[in-house]
Amino acid sequence: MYLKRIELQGFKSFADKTVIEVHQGVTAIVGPNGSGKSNISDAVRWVMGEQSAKTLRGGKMEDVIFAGTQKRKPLGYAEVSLVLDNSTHFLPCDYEEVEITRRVFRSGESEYMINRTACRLKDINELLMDTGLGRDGYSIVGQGKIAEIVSSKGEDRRQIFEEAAGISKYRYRKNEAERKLNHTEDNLVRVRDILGELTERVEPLKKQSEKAIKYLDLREELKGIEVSALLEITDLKRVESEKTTKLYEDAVREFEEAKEKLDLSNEKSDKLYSTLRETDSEIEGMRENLAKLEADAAQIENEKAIIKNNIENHKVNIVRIETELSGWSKREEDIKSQISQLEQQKNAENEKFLKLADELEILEDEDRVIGEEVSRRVKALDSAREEVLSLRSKKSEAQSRLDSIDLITQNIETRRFSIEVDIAAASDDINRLTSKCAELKEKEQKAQEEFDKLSDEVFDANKNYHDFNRRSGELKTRYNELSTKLGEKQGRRKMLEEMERGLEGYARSVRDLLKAKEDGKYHGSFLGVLSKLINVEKKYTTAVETALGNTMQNIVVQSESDAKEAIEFLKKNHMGRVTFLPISSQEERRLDNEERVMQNDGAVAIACDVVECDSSIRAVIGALLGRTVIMEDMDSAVKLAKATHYKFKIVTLAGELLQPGGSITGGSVNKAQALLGRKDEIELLNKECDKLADETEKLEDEIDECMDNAEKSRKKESMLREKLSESENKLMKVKAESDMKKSLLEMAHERFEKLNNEKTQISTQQTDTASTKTKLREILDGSDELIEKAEAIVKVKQDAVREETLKREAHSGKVIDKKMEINSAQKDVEIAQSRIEDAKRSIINSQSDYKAKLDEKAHQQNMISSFEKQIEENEMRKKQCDIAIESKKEEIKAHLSGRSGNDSELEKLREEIKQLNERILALQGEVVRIETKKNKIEEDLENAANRLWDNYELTYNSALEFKKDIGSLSEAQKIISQLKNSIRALGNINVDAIEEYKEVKADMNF
Amino acid sequence: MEKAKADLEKLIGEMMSVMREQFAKKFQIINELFGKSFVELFGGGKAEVKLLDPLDTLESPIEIEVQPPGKKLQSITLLSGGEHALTAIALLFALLQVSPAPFLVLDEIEAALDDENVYRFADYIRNRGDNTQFVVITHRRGTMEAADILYGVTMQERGVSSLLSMKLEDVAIEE
Repeated sequence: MYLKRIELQGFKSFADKTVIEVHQGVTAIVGPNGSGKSNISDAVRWVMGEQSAKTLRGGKMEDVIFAGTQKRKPLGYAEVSLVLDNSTHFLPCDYEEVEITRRVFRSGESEYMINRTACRLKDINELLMDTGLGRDGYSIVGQGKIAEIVSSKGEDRRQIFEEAAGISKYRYRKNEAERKLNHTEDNLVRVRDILGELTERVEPLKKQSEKAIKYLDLREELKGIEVSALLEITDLKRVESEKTTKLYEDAVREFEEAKEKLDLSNEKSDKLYSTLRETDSEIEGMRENLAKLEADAAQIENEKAIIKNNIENHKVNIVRIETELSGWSKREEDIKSQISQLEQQKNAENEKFLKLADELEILEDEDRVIGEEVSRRVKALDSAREEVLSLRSKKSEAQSRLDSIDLITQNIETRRFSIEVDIAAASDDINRLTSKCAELKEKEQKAQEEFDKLSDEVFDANKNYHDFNRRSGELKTRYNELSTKLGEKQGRRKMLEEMERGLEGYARSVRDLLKAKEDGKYHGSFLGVLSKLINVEKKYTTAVETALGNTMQNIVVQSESDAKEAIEFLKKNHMGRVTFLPISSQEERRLDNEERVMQNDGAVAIACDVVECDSSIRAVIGALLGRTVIMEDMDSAVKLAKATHYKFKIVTLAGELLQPGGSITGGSVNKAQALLGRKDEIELLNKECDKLADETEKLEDEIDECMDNAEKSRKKESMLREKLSESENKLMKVKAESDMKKSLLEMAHERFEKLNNEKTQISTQQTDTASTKTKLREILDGSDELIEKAEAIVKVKQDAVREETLKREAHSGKVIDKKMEINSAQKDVEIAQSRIEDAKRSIINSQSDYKAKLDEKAHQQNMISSFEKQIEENEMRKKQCDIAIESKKEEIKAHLSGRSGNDSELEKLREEIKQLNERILALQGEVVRIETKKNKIEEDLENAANRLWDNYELTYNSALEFKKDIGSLSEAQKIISQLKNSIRALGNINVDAIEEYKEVKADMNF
Repeated sequence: MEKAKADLEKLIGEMMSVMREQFAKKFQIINELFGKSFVELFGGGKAEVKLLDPLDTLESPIEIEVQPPGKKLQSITLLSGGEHALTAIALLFALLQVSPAPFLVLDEIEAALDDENVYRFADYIRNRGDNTQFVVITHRRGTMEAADILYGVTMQERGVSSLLSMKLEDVAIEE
C-alpha cells in the first residue's frame, strides 16, 4: 500500500482544488514561511479523523474552511481526500484504490466518506488501525510536535508504542469485548431477579390453584342439581302458564261481550235523547211565534188610539181657520179709500215740476253758447304761446350747438399739433432701430460661427481622449500578460540558478570540494567541474550529457599531482570520493575510420566536435568524446554499431547510449539532473527574460505616452468646453438683444401708421364743423325777429279771453238756482208715489193669506177621513191576530204531552247503562289480575332460562342432557343453597391460577 | 448467558495474554533498535526505553533513559532542544523499523537539527524510501536533496496558497 495523492479543496489557505501527487520515496514540500506548507500536514491529520480543532491550529472545526481574502469570497465547505493504492490489500478492504474523504460545512456538519460513500468516523478508524496511520499513531508528526513524542508523560507514550507493537487492534477489540461483557452481566442480573420473583409467587399460586379446583368440583355438583331444579321449575311453570292463558282468554271474551252490549244501549239512549231535544226546540219555536203575535195585537191597539187623537186635533184647527177668515173683508175696504186720496195729491205736485223743467232748459241753452265762445278764445291764446316757446327753444339749441362746435374745433387743433410731433418722433425711432437691427444680425452670425467651430473642436478632443484611453487599456492588458509571463520565467530562472549555484545535482563530495575551494579551505588548484567548462549547442545537449554520464561531475586538474593533492584533502576531511581529469595525462583519441563512419546514414557528428571549450582542455574533451559518434536516431545508431562491430560509443540525439561491447542504455531523461541542459535553459531563460523585459519596458513607455496623450486631450477638451459655454452665452445674449430690437421696430412702425390715420381723420372733421357753424349762425340771427311778433299776438288774445270769462260766470249763477228748485219738486212727487204703492201691496198680501187658509182647511178635512179608514183596517188585523194566537196555544199543548212519554223511556235506558258499566269494570279487574299472573309465570320461565344460560351457558334443550332425579324441589333448593354457601366460603377464586401454577412450576423446574 | 459471559472473559483473557506477549516482544525489539538508532544519530552514547512496572506490561508507564556521548545518564527532560528532537527522531525510526507505516508526514521535525544531523536524517529517510513514503515539510537543504519530488508552496495571491511542482529525482550518486 502506498499513498498516491492528497487532494485539498477549500482547506485553510488552499482555496482552489490542489492535488499533491505523492510517489514512492521522499516527497519534500518547501516554501517560504507562512505559505501554507503545514496546512498540508494538517489536512492529512484532519482527514484521518482529527477531532481537536486546536491541533489543527484553529478555534473551531469550521475554521479549517477557506475564510476568504480581500479579493476572494469565503467558501462554503472544505474537503480533503487521501487516495491510497491498495493493490497489495494491506488495508482490510476489497478495493484496489481507497479514497478517504472528509468534508466539513460552515454549519459545522462533518462528513466522512470511503470511496465517496458516506461512512462513520469509526469505519475510518477501523480501516486504518494497526497500519501505523490513524490519528493516534506516529505517522503524522506536526510542526514542533516531534519533541512531544519523548517528552510527554509515560502513560501517553504508551500509545505510540502500542501502535508500533501492533497491539492497538487488540486493545480496541478488548474494549469491545469488555463492553459486551458488561452488557452480558447486566442481562444476568436481570435473569436472577426474574427467578427470585418466580419463587416468591409459587406458594400462593399453589393455594389458589387448590382452591380453584375445589371450586370447580363444587360448581359441577351445583350445576347438576341446579339445572335439574331449573328444568323442573320450567316444566311446572309451563303447565301453569297454559292454564292461566285459557282463563285469561275466557275473561277477555266475556269482557268484550259486555262492552258490545253497552255500546248498543248507549247508541239507543243517544238516539232517544236527540229526539227529545228536537221536540223541545220545536215547542220553543212555537212559543216565540205566539209572543210575536201577541205583541202585534197590542201595537195595533196603540196605533188606533194615536189616530183618534190626530182627528181631534184637526177638528180644532178647522174651527180656528174659519174665525180668521171672517175678519179679512173689512180691512180691505179701508185701504182702498186711502189709495184714491194719495193719487190726487200726487198729480198736483207733478204739474208744478213740469213747469220748472221748461224754464231750466232755456237757461241751459244760453249758458252753452257762452261756454263755446270762451273755449274758442282760450285755444287761440294757447297756440300763440306755443309758437313763442318753440321759437325760443330753437334759438337756444342753435346757440349751444355753436358753442360746442367751437370747443371741438379748438380740441382738434391741439390734437393735430401733438400728432405731428409724435409722427416726427416715430419716424426718427424707426430709422434708428433699423440700423441697430442690421448691426445685431451681423454680430449674431459671427457668434454662431464661433460656437459651431468650438463644438466641433470639443467633439474632436473627446474622441481623441477616448481613443487614447482604449489604446492604453489594450496596452495594459498586453503588459499584464507579458509581466506574468516574465514573472514565471524569472521564477524558473531563479530556481535553476539557485540550483546551479548550490551545485544541486552534483555528488556531495564534488560539491564539498568545490565549496572548500571557494571558501579558501582548499589551496590546491583545479580548473573546475567538467560540466561547467564546456558549452554545447542545445541540439546536442542530451547526446553529450549521455555520452559523458557521470564524467561530467569529474574535476579537471592541470596535472596528476594536483589530483593527488586534492584526493589527500578529501581523505583528510572525510569528504568522499571524486574523479579527477588531469590535462597532462589526457590526449585526444579519435576514430581511425572517422570519415567512413560519418558517411553512414544518420551520422551527425563526432561528439568532441560539437563541444565548445577552452583550448586548454580540448585534449580532455578529445579523450572523453573523440571516440563517440552522435547519431540521428536509435535505428541508425544500432545499424552503425552493428556495422562497426561495437567498437566505439554511439549516442543518439534523444540520449540513447550504445556502449562498445553492445550494451544499450536508454529511457527517459531526467531534466533536472541534466547539468548541461540546466545551464542551457538558464541561458535561454535569460534571453527570454531580457526580451520580455524589453518588451514590457517598451509597452510601459507606450502606455505612459498614451496616458499622457489622453490626459492632454482631456485637458484640452475641458478648456474647449469652457470656451464653448462662454461663446454660447455670448450668442444667446446677442440673439436676445436682436429679438428685442426687432420687436421695438415693429412697434414703432405700427405707431407711425396709426398717427397718420388719425391725422387725415382730423382734417375731414375740421371742414365738416366749419360748414355747420355758418348754418347755425344764420338760424340764430332770424329767430329774434320772429319771437317778437309772436309775443304781440299773445297779448291781444289774452284780453279777449278775460272779457268772455266774466260774462259766463254771471250766467252760471242763474242756472244753478233753477236746478235747485226743480230738485225739491221732483222729490215731493216721488214721496206720493211710494205711499200709493205701499197701500196697493198690503191689499195683495191680504188676498193671498186668505186663499192659503182656505186650502189648509180642505187639507185638514181630508186627513180626518183618511184616519178614519185606517182605524177600520186596524180592527180587522187585530181580529186575525187573536185567531192565530189561539191555534198556536193548542199546538203547544199537544207537543208537551208527546215529550213527557219520551222522558220516561230515556230514564229506563240510563239505568240499564249504569248496570252494564259496573259489570265491565268487574271484568276488567279480572282480566288484569289473570294477565299479571301470566306475566309472572313467563318471567319465572325466562329467569330460569337466563339462569341456565348465564350460569352454565345451556339452553333448555341442551340442559336436558344434565337432567337427573332430584326428588322434591324444595329439598333440591336446600342442597343448592348449601352448595352456594360453601362456594362463597372459598372467597376469591382465580381459575387461571391452575394454569399459572403449572407454568411457574414448569419454569422453576427448568 | 453465564456461559457467554465466561466466553467473553476468556476471550479478554486470551487477548490480554496475546497483547502482553506481543508487546513484551516488540518492546524489546524497539528498545534495541532505539538504542542503535540513537547511537547512529548521536554518534555514540546510549539510550533505552523501560517499563516502569515490568509486571504490568500493558498498563505500565514507559520511561526513556538517554546518555548522549560524553554525558552521564539522564532523564529525557534534561536534554537540550536539539537533543530532544534527535532522540524523538531516533525513537520514531526505531518504531518505524518495527512496524513500517505505509507513509509518514513529517512537518519540520528536523528544524532543530544541525547540518550534519540533517544529512543523517536525509540519508535515513532516503534509504527507508523503498518501504515507506515520506512527505516532509522542510526548510532544510539536506532534506530537500533527499527528495524525489519537490513541491513548492507559494502565496502569489495574498492568503491563497498555490502549489508548484518541481520534480528532482535524485539518483544514486557514484562516488
